[in-house]
Amino acid sequence: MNDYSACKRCTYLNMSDEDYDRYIRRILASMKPQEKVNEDVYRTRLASCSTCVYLQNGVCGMCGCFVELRAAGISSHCPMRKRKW
Amino acid sequence: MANQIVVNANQTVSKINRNIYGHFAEHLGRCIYNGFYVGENSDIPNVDGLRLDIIEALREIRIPVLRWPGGCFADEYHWMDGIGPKELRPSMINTHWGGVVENNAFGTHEFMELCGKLGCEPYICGNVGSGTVREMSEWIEYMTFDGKSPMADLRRKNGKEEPWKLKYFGIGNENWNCGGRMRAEFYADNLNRYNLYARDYGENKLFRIAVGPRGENYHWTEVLMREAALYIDGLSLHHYTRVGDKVIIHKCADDNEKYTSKQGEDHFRGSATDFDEKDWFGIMKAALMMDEIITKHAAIMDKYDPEKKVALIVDEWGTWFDCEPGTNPGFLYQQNTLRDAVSAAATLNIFNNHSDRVQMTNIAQTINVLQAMILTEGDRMVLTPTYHVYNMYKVHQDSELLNCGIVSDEYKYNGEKIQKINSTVSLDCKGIIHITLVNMDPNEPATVVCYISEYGSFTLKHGEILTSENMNDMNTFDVPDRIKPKKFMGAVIKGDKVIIEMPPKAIVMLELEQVK
Repeated sequence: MNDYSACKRCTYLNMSDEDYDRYIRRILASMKPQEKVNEDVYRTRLASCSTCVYLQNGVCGMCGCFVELRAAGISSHCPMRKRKW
Repeated sequence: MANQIVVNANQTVSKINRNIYGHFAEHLGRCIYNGFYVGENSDIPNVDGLRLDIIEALREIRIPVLRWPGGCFADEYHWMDGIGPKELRPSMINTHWGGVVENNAFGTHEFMELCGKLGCEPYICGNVGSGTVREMSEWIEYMTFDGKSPMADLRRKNGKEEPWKLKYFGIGNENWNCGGRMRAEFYADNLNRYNLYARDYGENKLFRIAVGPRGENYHWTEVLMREAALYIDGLSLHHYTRVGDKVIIHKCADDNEKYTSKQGEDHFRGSATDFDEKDWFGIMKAALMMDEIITKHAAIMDKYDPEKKVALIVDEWGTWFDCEPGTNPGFLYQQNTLRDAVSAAATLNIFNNHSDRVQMTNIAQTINVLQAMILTEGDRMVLTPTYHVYNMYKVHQDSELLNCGIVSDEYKYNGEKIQKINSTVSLDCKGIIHITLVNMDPNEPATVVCYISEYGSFTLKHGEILTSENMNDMNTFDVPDRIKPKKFMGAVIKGDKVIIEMPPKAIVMLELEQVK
């Protein structure tokens, strides 16, 4: 049922991939180091998100967050009932 | 100066239509998908894909009516995409909101099923912006015709033998902008054409709602009432409670308005949670603006329709802030604080007090979008402060508005001032009086003396208060019950008076019962 293969990111913002990368990087850069997980944990979380059926356009369907931002937070967790991370 | 309310229990003004407490659900962000509808295979408890905890929570506040499928989404919605076997329904991009794939798993049958489970009336918005007269006509035939016809047979083929009962139908949505950028005169002609072919079948009688103005566009109301009042039952109004607006209004020589948007990232409206008293005052003032806007539109309507046959339907309203940081801006997901609750309570008081003309309103939007009743994250659910206002105010549904006068102190901020206190007083079918009061001042308490005549002796049956320590307190997934109604002990009865000690930034509901 959920065929997400045709996804674009966020046409509402008219963002190119480059703009989107800059947007995510800017917010990540604004986070304090003590608020962020280390690179290994971050990559593990994103790898888990990338296999999730609720991922669409870089956004988690269960919480509406850009996963690249949510996964960075040290106090964040997967919003699924059975947490993936 | 004391705040005073004078009520005559023998003088009813108008019935407060229960639909004033209505809601709106668009295919936007996580309102429908991963909101109301999680799908049959979800591990979140559901029935036919509809989330059970949400249904239970909305039944508690007696949701009377639900508008669907939009909003701007309705202006590009083609209903035939959302019927039949789900695996055969086409996928499309939701170009209005977030650019996500819309797989049409939630369509007409699912919406009607949802309304049945909620125990509310469906209010369906048809597509005038990009749909045809035939398409709209056939949708109504599909839903409501009980005889033999191509559309009725198609409905039966899709598993629904009997037609649905459908009363509320919108002939378009925001046709002044996302629904086709029409002038009022052009829309009025189109309205009359589309409306003509939106047939009543059998005993099903449509309550036909025309697209009304955006905010203070009084020219639109003038034209619509002049050209179409004979053929419609309601005229809509869209007005959001906000300080900064992304939309730029262009006034035209012919009195019409055109709209464009400011470009760039969406930081025009301020944070939903990180604000100070300046922002609090701004939102309170914006909420009270609804009174002026309704008064002026109603005056135009009175000119063409003095008998008030055409209702004013405020089918999009509520606070609109910047989205929560880190979330998709196209999803319009915002948190909800005590400020939202106080502004909603004040606005509902305004609607109640205009219930001679205002017959329905639909706050935007029920789940996870704008001023939501409910926020979800995975299987967790939070009832927002605004939800609790609706639960406290449900006592007014279908009650009679009582004639009352109010004298209020002022809440002053930085050289500006607004009325500190606003209220609704109603009488229900059991003879019980309900008073809802709002103190908009975030700093100072208020003593309110309410004189009630022609009611004899009475007692205080019940009282509730909604407030919190800080103006930006909210309910979160980790602390979901920080703001919820508590028993109110600050009211005493002395003869024909109720003396109410209201804390700052508070909403109070009182229930008075006659001693027989």
